[in-house]
Formats: sequence, structure tokens, C-alpha cells
Amino acid sequence: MILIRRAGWLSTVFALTWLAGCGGNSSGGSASGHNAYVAVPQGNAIAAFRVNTDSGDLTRVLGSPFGGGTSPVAIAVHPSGKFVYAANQGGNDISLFTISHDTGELSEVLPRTAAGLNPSSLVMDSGGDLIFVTNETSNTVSVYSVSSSDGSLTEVAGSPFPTGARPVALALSPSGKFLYVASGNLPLVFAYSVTAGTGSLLAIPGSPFAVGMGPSSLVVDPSEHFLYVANFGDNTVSGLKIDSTSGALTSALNSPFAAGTGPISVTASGKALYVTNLGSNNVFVYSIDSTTGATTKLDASPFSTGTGPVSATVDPAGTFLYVCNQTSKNITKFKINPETGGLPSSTVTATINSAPASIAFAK
Amino acid sequence: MTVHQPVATPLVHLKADVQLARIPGMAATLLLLLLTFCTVRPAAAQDIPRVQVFAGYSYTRFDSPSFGFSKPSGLNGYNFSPAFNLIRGFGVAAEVSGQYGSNLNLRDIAVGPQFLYPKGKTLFFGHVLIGSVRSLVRVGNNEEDTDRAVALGGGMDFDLSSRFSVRVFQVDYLHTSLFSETQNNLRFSTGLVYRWGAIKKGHRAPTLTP
Repeated sequence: MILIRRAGWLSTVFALTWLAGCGGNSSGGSASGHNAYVAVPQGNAIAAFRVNTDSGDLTRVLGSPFGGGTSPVAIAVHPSGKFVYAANQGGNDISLFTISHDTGELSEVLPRTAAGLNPSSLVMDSGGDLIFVTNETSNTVSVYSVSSSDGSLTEVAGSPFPTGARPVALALSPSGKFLYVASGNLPLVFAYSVTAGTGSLLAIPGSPFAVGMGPSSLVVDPSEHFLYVANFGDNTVSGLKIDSTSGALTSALNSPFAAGTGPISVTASGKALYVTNLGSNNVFVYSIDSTTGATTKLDASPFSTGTGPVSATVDPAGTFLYVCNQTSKNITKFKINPETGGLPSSTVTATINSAPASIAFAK
Repeated sequence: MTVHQPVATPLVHLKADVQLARIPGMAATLLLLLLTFCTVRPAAAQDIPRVQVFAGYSYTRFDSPSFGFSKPSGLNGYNFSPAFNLIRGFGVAAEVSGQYGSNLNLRDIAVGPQFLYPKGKTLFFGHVLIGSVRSLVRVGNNEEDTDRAVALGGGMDFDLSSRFSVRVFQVDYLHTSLFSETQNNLRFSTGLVYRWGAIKKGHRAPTLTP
């Protein structure tokens, strides 16, 4: 009997110890890792999610979406993880938000920073020192320096810089040396060198460079050797080789190459190129020849998205591709095959009340 | 992710890296423990109170990453728990509890069976309480939700006098399903227990008499 009683006490202590140990961890289904922020133009808001770095799943931050400017369409997260910037297409300005480290909550810092007319795309350099914004109706590029302490923006001398008609997208080379701007009304890409320190833009000799009809999106590959441009007007992608010294562009092997219907977004990760096709609701995946820049479409490609895909973004680890679907109002998550760049599995990872335009990740 | 436990009790060694995937096994062990309470005949001769009323401080380590937060939240609050013991070793317990943090709070009300095991001046207990939990999250557009709650736990009381005992510790695994997500939480409680009435050894369930 004594043995039985002692066994009972021991099991009590054992069970309580077990309980105590278990409670210290977040649940298996909970998110851990970093935050993601989604521009929701019709909601005039930014939706926030916690990203599970293992599964890639998005967990909505409670209290989200957070109110912001009018029609935010493009978004960037400062590399410090402290600030979020959104280009407000309807408000002609830039919103700055501070990020709560504990909850992921965004708090907008007012007043907003003035931009040109119809700011539609935005990119930040890897150091978080400069922000570049295309103003679609003003036909200019605005450049701002970023305060590392409070995230505030100050327009650099000479900004805004004139560019081609209806600049709809821009891409900064990973080194921050060159900026490329797609002109939506012309089959052209305008190229600039970025002056270190000041952020002012100087046109690269030979600019603008010819691409396909209706360029809608462009990306510089991680090696900074090639620029790819999605041509919405003729369902192709242009590949261009970057002169590492001047930033000038020349046509790459097999350029332009066929995409799906209505290629609207292009992004690159590792040796793979991802082209999102608005008309065919899918993503084409290509492997990139690191020497010539020539692309080869993967046999398994295309991969289906939701309805009305408008942008695709690879997470900072290069593990998942996220596609914002405007018509189905959700986000499709693709797991990336690290060997081929293929997208073996996909799932809808987040549904939003209003159409998402773009997604950006805190590192 | 390794999380350091903020609270330790003298009898509980806190193990930090246990995965919650083990919870089904843990629950099975606890149920086994409760069965032990039910089936093992108490050897001690002391009385078990007919009624216990516990009131005290509680700390909850809340699984707030399921809310999109970056890490679990530490919530402080109260736990009030009356219990009526039907026979030696078995009764019914209820609880009203509230925990509060800077960005969220949690309130629950629950009831369920309680199992008791006296030993000298100490009284071990275990319980399974089922009820409702309500949470308010104060982030952005404040959000509120109510859902079911299950508290699986136990603890130890130590007699101070014939009327009072101190709840040395109470540990509960608190399972909630707020905002369509699952939360696995851990709650510690301590405080005073007021008690009256006594169930003698060999006593059976009370009968109602006119």
C-alpha cells in the first residue's frame, strides 16, 4: 500500500513537471519567425501576418488590418524590422508605420510624406538608406533618404527625377548601384546609376533600352548579371544582360521568351525566375543560365494560383513564394524546390476581406 | 524555440524544451493520475473538507503567437475556485479566473470533477474543468472572442488551521480555441483556501433529507 501511495505522489510530481515543461513553448500550429505585411488598396489598409518559418503559413495578426493612406499598392519593410513604408496611389503620398516588436501591430506616423501623382511602386535599398518611388502620372521617380533612428523620409536633392511615360515599376540592383524603371506606355526601360551617399539618379548612357510591349514589372537577378522584364502587352519576358560597370543593358540569349497570358509580375530567387500571369492565373518558372542569362521553362511549369494574381514575392529565406490574388482575395503560398526552383506544392495561406496588391517581409 | 519559464515552484522542475506535441501523452498521464486518485484508497485518516473556496493569484503563459504575436505573453490575474466534495476523494470544482496583460486579457469560467488525495497536512488534488473563455486583444482594431476552454491540472494544499490552508501550487494546462486558432497555455496559481465541513474516512455521499 505504501508503494502504491508513493507511486501516486511520484506520478503527481511527474505529471505537473511535464505540464510545466510543455507550457513554455508556443503551440505547434502557431506562427514563429517574422512578420509579413500586405498592401490592401481598397481597404486603405495594411494587413499584418506572422510567418511560420517552417511551414510558411501566415497567421493574421489580431487587430489587423491597420488603417493607412488612400489606396496603398506597394510596400517595403525596413531591414531593421522597425518600419514599414507604403506608396498610397490614391493619396499621392508615402505612409510610414512603426512596427511593434511584440505584437506586429503597425502604428502610422503622421504626417505622410508627399510623393508625385499616382505613386504605384516602391523599392528600398538593402541597407535601408534610400527609397525609390515611381509616380505614374507625374512621369517621375522620387528618391528619399531614410532616417535610421525614426524611419522618417527626406527627399534627396534633385528629386523627383524625370523618367519615361507612365512609370509603373522599378527594380534596384542588389548592390544599389543601378535603378531600372519600366515605362508602361512605351516598350522601354529607363536605366539610372544611383550616386552613393546622395541617392541622386544619373541616366546611364544608352538609356532607355528596348523591351517588349507594355512592360509591367522587372527584377534584377541576385547575381546582378541580368534584368528580366515582364511584358504585359505581348505575353513575353525580356532578358537583358547588365554591364557591371556602367549598368547598361544588352539583350540576353533567347530574349524575349514566351510567358503566360498577361505577365504582370516577375521575381527571381537563386537560379529561378518566376513570372506571374494575370490572364492565365498561374506562375511560369524558368531556370536561369548563370553565364548567358538564357532561361528554360521547367517541365512542370506553369503552376496554378488563385484568381487574378498580381504580384509574387519570395520570402527572405528563399523557401516560399507568395502570390497575391486580387480577384479571389487571398494569398497562395508555394513551397520552392531548392534544387530546381520548382513549386511542388501550393496552398491558400491567407484570405483577406479586400483584394491584396503586394506583400513584403520583415527579416 | 526555447522559452524560459518565469515562475518556478519548489516541487516543480521546469523543463524548457519539451514540445507540445507531447501533450496527448501528457493528458493521458494526467488522466492516469486522476484514476489513481479515484481508485487508490486514501491511507491517511484525516478529514477532507466538504467545501473549499480558493482565491489567489494566477499567472498564465499564454500562447499568443497564435494571435500573430512574436512570443508568448505573460498574464497576471486572479483565480477564484469553489469546490464541493461529495465523497472522500471526489468532488465538483468550479473556477472563475481572469488574467491580464498589456495587449490582451483572458477570462474563463469552468466547472468539472475534482479528485483529492490527503496525506498528513497536505491535500493533493487534480481536476478537469470545462467551460468558456473570453479574450480581448487590444491591438489595432480591438478584437474579442469567446470559445470553449479546458483546464487540466492539479496542485497541493497545505493545512494552516482547521479553517485555512495555503494552496502551495496549482498548475493547469489550459486549452483554448480563440479566434479559430488553438492555444496551449500554462497557468500557475497560488493563494489561500477557506474550508468548512468534513468528510470522515469511510463516509459516503450525502443524502438529501426533508
